[in-house]
Amino acid sequence: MDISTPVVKKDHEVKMSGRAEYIADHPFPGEIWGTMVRSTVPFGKIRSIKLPDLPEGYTAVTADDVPGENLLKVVTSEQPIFAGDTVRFLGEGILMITGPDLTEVKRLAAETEVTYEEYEPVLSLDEATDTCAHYHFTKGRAMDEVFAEAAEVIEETFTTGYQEQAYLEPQGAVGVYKDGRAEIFGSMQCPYYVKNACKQTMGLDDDHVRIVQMTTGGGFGGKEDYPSLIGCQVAVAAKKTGHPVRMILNRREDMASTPKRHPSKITYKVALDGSKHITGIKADILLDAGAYAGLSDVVLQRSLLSAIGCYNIENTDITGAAMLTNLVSNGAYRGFGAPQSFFAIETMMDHIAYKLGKDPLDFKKEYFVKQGDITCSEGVFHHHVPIPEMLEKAEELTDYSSKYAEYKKPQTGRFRKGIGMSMVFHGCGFTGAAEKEFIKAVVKIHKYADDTVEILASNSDIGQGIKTTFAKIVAEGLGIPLSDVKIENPDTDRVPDSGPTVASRSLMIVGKLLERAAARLKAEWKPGEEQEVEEHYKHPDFMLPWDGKAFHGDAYPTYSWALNVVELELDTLTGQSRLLSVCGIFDVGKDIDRTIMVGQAQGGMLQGLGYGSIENMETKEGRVLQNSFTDYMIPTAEDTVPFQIAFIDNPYDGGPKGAKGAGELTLVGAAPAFEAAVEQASGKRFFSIPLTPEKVLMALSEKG
Amino acid sequence: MVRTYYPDTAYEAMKARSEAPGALLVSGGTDVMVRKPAYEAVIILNGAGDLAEIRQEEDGSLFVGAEVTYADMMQDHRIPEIFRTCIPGIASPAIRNAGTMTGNICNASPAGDTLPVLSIMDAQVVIGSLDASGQEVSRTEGLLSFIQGIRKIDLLPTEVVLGVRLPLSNWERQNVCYYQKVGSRRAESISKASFAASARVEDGTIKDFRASWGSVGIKPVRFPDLEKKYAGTPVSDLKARKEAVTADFIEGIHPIDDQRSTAAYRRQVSANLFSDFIDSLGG
Repeated sequence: MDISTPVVKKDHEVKMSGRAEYIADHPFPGEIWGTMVRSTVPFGKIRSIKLPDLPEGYTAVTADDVPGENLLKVVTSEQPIFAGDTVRFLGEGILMITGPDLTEVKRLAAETEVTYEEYEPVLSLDEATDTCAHYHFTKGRAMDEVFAEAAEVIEETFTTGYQEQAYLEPQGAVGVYKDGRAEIFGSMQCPYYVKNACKQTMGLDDDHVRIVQMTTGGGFGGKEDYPSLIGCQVAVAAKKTGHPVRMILNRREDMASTPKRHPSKITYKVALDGSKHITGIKADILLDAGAYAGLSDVVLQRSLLSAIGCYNIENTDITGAAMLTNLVSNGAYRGFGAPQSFFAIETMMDHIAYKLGKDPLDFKKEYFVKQGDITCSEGVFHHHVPIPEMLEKAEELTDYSSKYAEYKKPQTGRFRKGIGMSMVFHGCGFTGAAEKEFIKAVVKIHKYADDTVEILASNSDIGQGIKTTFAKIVAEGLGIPLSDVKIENPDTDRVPDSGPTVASRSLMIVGKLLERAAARLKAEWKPGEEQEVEEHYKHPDFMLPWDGKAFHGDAYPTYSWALNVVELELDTLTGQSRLLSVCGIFDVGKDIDRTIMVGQAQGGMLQGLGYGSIENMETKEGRVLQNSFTDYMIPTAEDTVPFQIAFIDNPYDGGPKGAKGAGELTLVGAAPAFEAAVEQASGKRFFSIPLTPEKVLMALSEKG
Repeated sequence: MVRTYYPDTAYEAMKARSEAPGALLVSGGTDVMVRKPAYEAVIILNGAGDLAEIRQEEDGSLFVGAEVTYADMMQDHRIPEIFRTCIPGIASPAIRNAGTMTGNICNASPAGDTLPVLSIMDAQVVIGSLDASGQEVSRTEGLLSFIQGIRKIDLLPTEVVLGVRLPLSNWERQNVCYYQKVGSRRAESISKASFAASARVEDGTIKDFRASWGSVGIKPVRFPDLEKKYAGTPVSDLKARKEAVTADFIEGIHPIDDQRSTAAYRRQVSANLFSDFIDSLGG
């Protein structure tokens, strides 16, 4: 049977029956509640903290109670678990009030008075001067020379806004401390990240920290780093109070104070020769990191490596920096730095085409990369790039070129149509040498005496279906029924560290280890006996070495590819758009389950459309203005149309059954395709997303 | 402990309000659930059968009881056509199955979806209470004077809003109707701007002309003097002077910037929709 043939998901029954236990559902004997007292200023020194009279059983947990280091371990460690003497963003956690009654805990937290000596805050990317990461790397000749020889140089600047992950289940964790051992249960993507952070904060070794992922109601990157913070906070509180401590953020608190997609400012300077051919591109990318570095360095790396898009440009010069501000810290969100760059480069290419009097697709076709081409970090596109097949499929499904030609004719009347196309890639797995040097993933398959097996890996199912796809690979490899393959939510006492659930790596990297483990177990299979096999990460030997400082070499072993087409009708009276058709064509190597993969595509594309159109989040004096689902709009079913989705098989040997990274890819291309469609319908050029009706209507009301 | 009343009739509802003056009246409850206000007493109206009626009154008015839901309105052929444009844009099917127009009025949000429509219909709010001897007394109040500000209405602690009176004898002669809501998305969205208008066009001349804007002020904005000024104008004349006429009205609109939109956008959309309404006039 083809591995893509859909099956009933491993967690279907437990979720559909309502029996799945999220952190809010699972009771802990003797538990009490915790609520954070948060900073009300964006930047300042804490002068005094005046607690209300705390009734018996109510406790304030502060930086002084941290047994180990009061610093959150992410890549490096900058953010305090509880703010000590300084707060760097509005909403930063200062202390926790705990106690048996949640209403009382909230009252006591609200009545805690903190006074500050306020400092001048940095409240926008434009004001920022301090970086927490920066890079510069080039390919080909010196850009000064290229610009000096150019017949024409075109420069444009693009901006992108925040995006909130909007997972259905807010952040939450329970900390337990007993017999010198800290345990954290919660909604999370990366149990071992939480474990490493907890070890540092609690001053405990590997054997004295246990992390358990509870069924998780969506993550989208939002539960990559933040569960480590909330986990450490409840662990410290549990040790101080002697009770399990439960903290679940409410929606407004979650939206205002947890990491989001980085706002960005991206400038391109493009050199054209006398025959209107691009000879070089200089890109400069600034990301708003927020108050603490967190994951920003790694996010920036992916932005930079996506800066030139799917184009083979002879000379490139790329700089980028993650800038510190006194705004909420930004982190991971599906796409991880790539959506900003792909929006910018795709729109830049469209704009150049229009300037040259060419149709965008014809212009882009002159530059699309192919197998063997050199990447912007002077790595290699080692594998087949199926852009020609994807274009052919897109024409078949959407009739893009004839619609483009039709809508290009002058339009009159209130409603006008436009169609836009984008081409994007996703570099598969962690950027650079992280898999080899830091993660070093390990998996186990345990075989029981009854000849059923259990997968032991630390990747969490956050709705993306990894329990099912892992199990399918193992069942297929062993030649046993899927029902004989068991997989539980990861518990670090039981599973080895197979790395985090991020970077679209779980299936390709960890799935491959499971495929290999299954093959070994099959070869060694002893019916009726208990057995265990373990597999370790092997770095692909074809890869060019990665130099992280020079930003040089193969940043990724391979790439997955996506083509998006968005067709819409623009209301010139309101600036609003109505989708007419949306198409996504994806090369994810080989999809391991068609239903799961279609789900990924539908969800990712809709999130991408939201990012490009209506998901508007702004800050004023450091405060997030849209901190509820009433004011922060994500698209509903009414706002969309059934998507046309197709897959191009292009198997990669380094992934199980040929699978490549798929989860993030699906989000990245929708925003630039939407933008391009609005540009065609309106006849205007835009430089910013979300491309809200406000921006569109203001452009339409300009004369001329 | 919160005292909760479940009156079966309008009379009992008024009795409950006199027993517990200032008690929270719940008519649908779709906004109360979100706002979670603290009250000592709550009167849940949805069991009051006589408030769930739509009835034709002697003068041709249509009375829509306080417990008539949006979904009920969509099912009733006597409800004016303009509501069929307005109601499907309100929130979601679940909200429309529970929410009421009276609730929308008493909520007194600047973004209330039905308010511009009710405003051009000259709708009246029907209010009842019990006097000292327990006799029912009622009064009516025009929509725009009943709504006094954001979440502020002209209702005494012992009064109950019984419903809305739509003076249809006058409305039915309007032969052009226009309504548009502009939200951030197509469902579950609070309006950034909304616009309702109607006109009676006879022999190519505007006889009666009404326009109201929502979400651009604390309550729906209407300009009776300007409406009078342009009544009697030939449609062709109005269309020829469209820009000036639009400017005349829009000058009086002073929207604000907030977390949902900008003042500039609200103004521009308000002007564009008004202008489109003029274009839509026949003759």
